[in-house]
Amino acid sequence: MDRDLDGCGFEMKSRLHTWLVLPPLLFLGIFYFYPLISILFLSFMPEGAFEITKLYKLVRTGYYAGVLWFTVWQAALSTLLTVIVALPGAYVFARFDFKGKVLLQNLATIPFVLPTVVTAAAFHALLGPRGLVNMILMRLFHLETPVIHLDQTVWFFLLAHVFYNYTVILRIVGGFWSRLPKNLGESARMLGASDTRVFFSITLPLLKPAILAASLLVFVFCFTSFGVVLILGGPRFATVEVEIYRQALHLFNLPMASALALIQIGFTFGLIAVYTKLERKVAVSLTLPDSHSPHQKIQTPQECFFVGVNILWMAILLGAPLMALFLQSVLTEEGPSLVYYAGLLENKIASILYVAPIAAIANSLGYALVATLIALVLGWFSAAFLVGAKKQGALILDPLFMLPLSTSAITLGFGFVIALDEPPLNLRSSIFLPAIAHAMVAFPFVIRSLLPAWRSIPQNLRDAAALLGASPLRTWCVIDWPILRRALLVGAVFAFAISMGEFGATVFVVRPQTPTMPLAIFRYLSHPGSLNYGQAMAMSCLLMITTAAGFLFLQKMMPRSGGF
Amino acid sequence: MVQLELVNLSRTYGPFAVHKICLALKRGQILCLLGPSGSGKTTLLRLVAGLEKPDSGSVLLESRDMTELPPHKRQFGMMFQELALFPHKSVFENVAFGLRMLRQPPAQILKRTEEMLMLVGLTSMAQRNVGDLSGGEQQRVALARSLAPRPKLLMLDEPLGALDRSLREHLLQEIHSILKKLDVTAIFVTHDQAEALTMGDVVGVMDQGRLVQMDSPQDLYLKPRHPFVARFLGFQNLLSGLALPGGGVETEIGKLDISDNNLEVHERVTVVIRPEIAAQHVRGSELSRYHKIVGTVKQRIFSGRLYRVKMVVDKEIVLAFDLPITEPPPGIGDEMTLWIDVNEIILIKEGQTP
Repeated sequence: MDRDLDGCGFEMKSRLHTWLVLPPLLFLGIFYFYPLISILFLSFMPEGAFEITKLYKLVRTGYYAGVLWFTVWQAALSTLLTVIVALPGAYVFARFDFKGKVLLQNLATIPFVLPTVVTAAAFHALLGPRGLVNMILMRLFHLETPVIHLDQTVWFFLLAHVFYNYTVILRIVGGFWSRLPKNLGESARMLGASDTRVFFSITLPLLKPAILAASLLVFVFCFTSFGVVLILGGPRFATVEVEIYRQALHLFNLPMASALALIQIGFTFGLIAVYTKLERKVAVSLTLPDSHSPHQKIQTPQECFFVGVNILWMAILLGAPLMALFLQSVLTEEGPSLVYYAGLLENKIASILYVAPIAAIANSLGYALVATLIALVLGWFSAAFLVGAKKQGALILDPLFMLPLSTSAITLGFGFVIALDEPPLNLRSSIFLPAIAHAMVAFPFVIRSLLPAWRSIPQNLRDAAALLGASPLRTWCVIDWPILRRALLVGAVFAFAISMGEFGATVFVVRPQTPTMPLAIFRYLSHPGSLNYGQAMAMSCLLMITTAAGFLFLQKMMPRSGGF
Repeated sequence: MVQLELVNLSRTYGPFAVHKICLALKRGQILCLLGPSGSGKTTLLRLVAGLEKPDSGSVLLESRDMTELPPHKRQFGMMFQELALFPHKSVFENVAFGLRMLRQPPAQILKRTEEMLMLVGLTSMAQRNVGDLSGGEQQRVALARSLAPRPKLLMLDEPLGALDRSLREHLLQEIHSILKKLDVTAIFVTHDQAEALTMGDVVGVMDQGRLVQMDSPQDLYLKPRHPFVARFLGFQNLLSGLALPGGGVETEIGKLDISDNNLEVHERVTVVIRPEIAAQHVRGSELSRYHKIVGTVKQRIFSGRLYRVKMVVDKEIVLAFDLPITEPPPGIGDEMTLWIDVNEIILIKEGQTP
């Protein structure tokens, strides 16, 4: 009797469990696959019937090949520069111990988590025509015009890419490097290898998979870079992302935009697939030597110099733009003042935003709250399903849930616009559309923070609680919830920060009269006038503080945060 | 002929300092550095290797000063505790690495590498990945690799630390015979006294960065010159003694009639009674050579080859002895009488600290 009842209960439980996957799958189906398929259809059937000429045109005319070539070229160059610039830093972090190292590492990660528009604003603030450096130089040498002309050049956003991705190299390569046993190098030296030969025949080959994996990741980020290219590069430069944006929103050439989006999807998926493979190789090759070589203290003057120069360089590269952003937000022509911040509260009729800047802040917060809520619910359902799923189920569905991460925001936003603006689903005017887009980007992060925590709860803890007399509900409250609560909070902060800073998809889906903060900054930056400029700086500063605080909070909450 | 000489080698900063180490090593000799962890053995090794710089003192090889030479120019070999095999290279390439650094012609590299692989019995594994080898095989690769470029001095830093006991004993003998066969001058670092006594032609005991005693294994064992050395060799019966007028030493367990000593009256000494010098019975004619101890058996452990007995003398002094199994000692709580060969008792003068 009892046994029958048990069996029945078990079956019911497993059926219930299967239902868990439905909400996230439904969400992905409607808001991810449907838009993507719409892009596919639009590419091949621009007028409703199969037609390949548009795609053919894309391949044939030099301009679009040029766009693709430029995208690859700038991404490759950015990656190369980042590796060269960050490799010494990775070495310093891998091999030396010094005061404030953890803090420095966390601070170095802030650029990576900053919204693209804030990065763009920060570089404007430092090196733009009215940037801090030009101002100082003009005043020092009594010049009439700016000295540094980086604005609207390739170098401007290449520099921003280095700033952005420095920490990727620092963390992945540095982390790997620190686990390489130190005595491998010593061993080679004892066998007669000079320092240079040690580096090229031992260290570099061993670091290769980590450098490749990190470079590939940087390459993907630069390949899909949108905000900084659009703002810092100006109209002369178009990556695939920028071109999709232009074709869709400026020229209304939707078939061409979707053909480009198709290329973008193909490229990023291919790159992500290679990255996943490489990453696994990195993980495997690392299991071999379990190093316990301690980090060394700085001893010789040369070491001190080397470490010092590196830290200084990091401070300049990563700190100066952010510092400039802050200074520009409080420095007016009449001296230090909070007038730009105060201006955010005013509602000018002729404002380029149509609404008061404070409304943009309110919009951002509103979207972020809704997006966080959606992402948490969906992430919870997905994680709950994956934890209990059979191996095969998890093997297929886990990567499926991660797909939104490997799709560029522009493609996603563009897909929304072409798929969700007509029956059966007309959400174009829905106030929830930006929140949904943000939730799509954010919910994989919620899964990633929930899943390891959930899986880490040992079954025997629950068994022990049950044997001690706790009911299933009570067991859940005492064992599962306290562990999951933390992970849920981490996921929530992630989702919130992502939503606050999201730019690429928002550009497409947000209505003009309800702009978000990144959008407001973008508009301020693209319109001349010192008040606009100052307000862009002020709002960027607010956004920077929000994301940086969120990130530093996450660093505190997460016991170990090594990779990505 | 002196191969290696260390003169006042010191490094005082850092956690594991070494102080004024002086020693000389003849060609083909194996020196075992013995000491507890943190005693500076590895630091000394790294100073000799050139991986770390001394504050003062010098390293001489065949009378040439090597102190300023970087490690890769010293032509020394080193076998690391964690082996440090190159994970991205095959067995063959690991062994050949040092030869490649010498830019030897390929044919010569091939010949020497194969020779070394043959020596350690790994010829069939040449193309294997080092990650796929067993612990013992990895050990052999590391040995072959460090010997291939014919180092003028080979250093081994607890190379058998990670292996299990039986494999360790086996490999120890193998390494010993290979080093002797090739007539390599070597420094072998270990914290295991049995390993040191088996392996070394000379054994140096280190404590807190100082070389406390350096002697042949026999002399070290039979004539420790420092209480630390005696304790580290595993001797438990250490008593404090005072030289009496007219010979003899006063200790906690009474007066010991040790006649053959050159102690001054009232000189303080440490008395070491090795565990194997006690017997339950002695012949009457030899009685004068023996000192009688009476105590209560506190612990009696049978270990196969012998009985280890702990007895309490005078209520507080605990002495440990190894007795043959042919004559089982009394049970716990019973009284026991033992005879100690006075000539075998070791006296360590107080002033004999280095």
